[in-house]
Amino acid sequence: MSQAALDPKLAGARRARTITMLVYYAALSGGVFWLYWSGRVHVTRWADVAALMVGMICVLAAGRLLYESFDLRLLGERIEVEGEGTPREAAKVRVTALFVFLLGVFLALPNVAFGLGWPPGLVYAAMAVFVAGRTVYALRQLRTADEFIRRRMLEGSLWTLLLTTTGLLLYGGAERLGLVPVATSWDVLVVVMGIAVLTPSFLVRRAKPSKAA
Amino acid sequence: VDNRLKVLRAERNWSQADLAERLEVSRQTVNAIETGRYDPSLPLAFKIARVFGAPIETIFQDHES
Repeated sequence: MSQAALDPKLAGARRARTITMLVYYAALSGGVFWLYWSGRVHVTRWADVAALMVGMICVLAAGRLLYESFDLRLLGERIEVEGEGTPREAAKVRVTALFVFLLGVFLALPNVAFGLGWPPGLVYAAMAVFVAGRTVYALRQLRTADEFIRRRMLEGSLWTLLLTTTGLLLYGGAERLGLVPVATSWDVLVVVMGIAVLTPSFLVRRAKPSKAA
Repeated sequence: VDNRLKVLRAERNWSQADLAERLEVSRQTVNAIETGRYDPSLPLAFKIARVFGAPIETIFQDHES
């Protein structure tokens, strides 16, 4: 029997989350399509479309994390602990949500900025600030994590490295032989970030216990 | 590796948070060990044994043996 079946309040919180997330997904998708159809997004190649999609996934995931951080029952389920999450755990999840959101913005920003005619230097400065902040955050996470959390982080990183280097070995060889089009660093970045964003969620799903603690 | 962490914790009426605090790890780690999703390192396993005041082999059992 699932935890939600045992706890009607948790089941209710899950239903409320589903409805809220559906509205949020619809609003965000509508916003992105409006930006695209109104010509405010500069899309010239497949990597631009992929960047918008990965960026949207990040913004959606960040919204879900933020929502769950305000419901301690859902938070407990999210971080896989017995009972409810604590305010301290909620604060940590909110910081994670912020960086996931900013990553989504980072991926969409070049296309949007180009479409809206924003000064590239200023946009790039904002992106560099994000990269610096993200690096500090990731290093701090790694330093303060305990052995289980660190292993999860390293496992995600290892799979990302394996998948991306395999892809690069195959594509790089084919590119040098003139079999495939030349890829830009933007193309590579989008693919790497897409894999880096999606890999941990697959690993977490794979590691789900058969029954709750 | 099977373990009796949940049973030992229940016997002492400790929450996952209580045990996590004693072990200086996160609640996620305690939950992952209890549900068999994670086997702790040797130093952490010894610490768990110390916290419960029990020999390590009475807490962790190799399910193949």
